[in-house]
Amino acid sequence: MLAKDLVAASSKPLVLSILADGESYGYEIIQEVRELSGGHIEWSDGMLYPVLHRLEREGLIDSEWKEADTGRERKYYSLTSKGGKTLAVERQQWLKVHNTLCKLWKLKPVSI
Amino acid sequence: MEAQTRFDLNAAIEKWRLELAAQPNLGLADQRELEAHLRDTVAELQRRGLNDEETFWLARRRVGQPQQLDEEFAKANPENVWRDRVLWVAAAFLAWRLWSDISMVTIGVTLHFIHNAAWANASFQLFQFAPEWVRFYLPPTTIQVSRMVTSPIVQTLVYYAPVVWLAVCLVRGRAQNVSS
Repeated sequence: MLAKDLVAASSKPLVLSILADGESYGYEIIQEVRELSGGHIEWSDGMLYPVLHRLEREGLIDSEWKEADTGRERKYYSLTSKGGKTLAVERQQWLKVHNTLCKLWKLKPVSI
Repeated sequence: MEAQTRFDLNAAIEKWRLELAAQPNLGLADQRELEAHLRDTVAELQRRGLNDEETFWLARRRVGQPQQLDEEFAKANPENVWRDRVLWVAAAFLAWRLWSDISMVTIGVTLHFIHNAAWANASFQLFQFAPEWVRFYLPPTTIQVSRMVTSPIVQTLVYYAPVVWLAVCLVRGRAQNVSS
């Protein structure tokens, strides 16, 4: 399991990256993160919504209530253009950290 | 014989929703969103073959206790946290004013009684001419008590007691946070 502060710090790039692939809703985002991380990043359900609302206040994502195929309504989130730009910056910064650690640990860095 | 009553999933979710509504930091839209989340969780668990009751309690546990959710949402809404802080500071200020008034009146009333008590004067006169070492071993006379009560140090201590108490609580709380 990932340390608490790392979970908090990585929530922004993770959410923005998932939404870069298309709109999604809270439940689906949590499932996707769990699957992609192989269960290592376990978000509590109550934690995600405040993060989503904060990103929306910052203008990085938009939200809209829509009827799902189940007939019930869900709040869907999508990336804004400002969110796309922020994601590009976040990506650069995370990869810089990643590459520095890779060099120290004699692993192959990725191209930024 | 089937004595068990059927579990009503919708009624259970409705009740849960009411619990959410009782939380100060969860707006209507938040409650609606969390309900959609709970229903998604319920649907997934039902697909796995769990019955309605098991499904509801497991989903409820996954989504989180209403109070816990409220705390998470409060952290994300700094303006609400600040509103609460301002209210607490105002309440503490009023409580302190009330305390200082009460303590002043209490000291005044106490002094009045001490000065007017006949036994106080009698005991004072009785030991007035006793040698210093005798008076030393006597319990503090009322005169000394009255002097103590009227001394600016005691008055200041009483006056600021709530502030000191609050400071001690804060320091202990911080120490506990550091140690945990």
